[in-house]
Amino acid sequence: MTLSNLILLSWIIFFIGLYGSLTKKSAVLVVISLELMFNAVALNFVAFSRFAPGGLLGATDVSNVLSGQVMAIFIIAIGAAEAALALSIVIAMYREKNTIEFSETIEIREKDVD
Amino acid sequence: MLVDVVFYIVALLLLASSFLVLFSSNIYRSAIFLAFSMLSFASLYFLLSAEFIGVVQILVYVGAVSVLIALSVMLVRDIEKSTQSNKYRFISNILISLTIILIASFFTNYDWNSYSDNILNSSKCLLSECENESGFLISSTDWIGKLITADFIIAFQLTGLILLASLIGALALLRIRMGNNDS
Repeated sequence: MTLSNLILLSWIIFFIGLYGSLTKKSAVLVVISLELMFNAVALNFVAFSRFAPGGLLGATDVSNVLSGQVMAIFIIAIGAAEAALALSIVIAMYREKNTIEFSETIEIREKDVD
Repeated sequence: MLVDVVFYIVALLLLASSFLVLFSSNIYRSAIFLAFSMLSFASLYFLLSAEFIGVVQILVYVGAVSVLIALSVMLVRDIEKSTQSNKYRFISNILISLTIILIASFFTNYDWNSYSDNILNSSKCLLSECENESGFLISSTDWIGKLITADFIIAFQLTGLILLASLIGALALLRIRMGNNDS
């Protein structure tokens, strides 16, 4: 378990999430992919707070070292808020348009604006 | 050594479940695999001796967000055709492969040796084995609480504000739709 292993892992997970959020039709799958991207970034923060010079072991200044973990907590909180809001938008979209596919609703909205 | 074995097992599970999130045939199975990959993330946090983050991850993601996603999948009932790709698939394939090549070139050229001394020293000991080492293991939960309420207090308050705003926003979105249905 080295830093480069962890960064490679979180990078692969981030790109799985990016691919899903760009290519999937269903809004729920886009939300799921966004959650994967959030978690990959949080893993990166925690890995750096563990392994960076002056890391968690042999710490000289605690506030420098644990900032990564605090950022991970904020990422988790924002990710949960984002999931709740996005899923309520999905359900509202399903009630209004009877579909959860992003492309169709975008077309309908453009027609309404014109 | 044991830590490395556990890390590779967890990383394999994480990669497999993250792939299955996108490429499983049923969107409900995707939600279940999302819960599984969040659990793998939590065990990685435990391996990185960030116990508090791991517990919060299990509470928030495995406990709350996965249930939220599974319930909204059940409410939407558009399961069969929901795993299709959209029409931007070709363009995003090209875009993503270009980005992967870019970051891979950075990743292979970067000098990881500047970190390696620290990694070699710290990866030997985990949790309680480190007491005899030169470094000391700090109790992270304790200090995270002190840091959040001292250095990061504005970000903490803003996070609370964002949570409240998203709660009100979600309620307002669903409530407006219900009002329209009634009238």
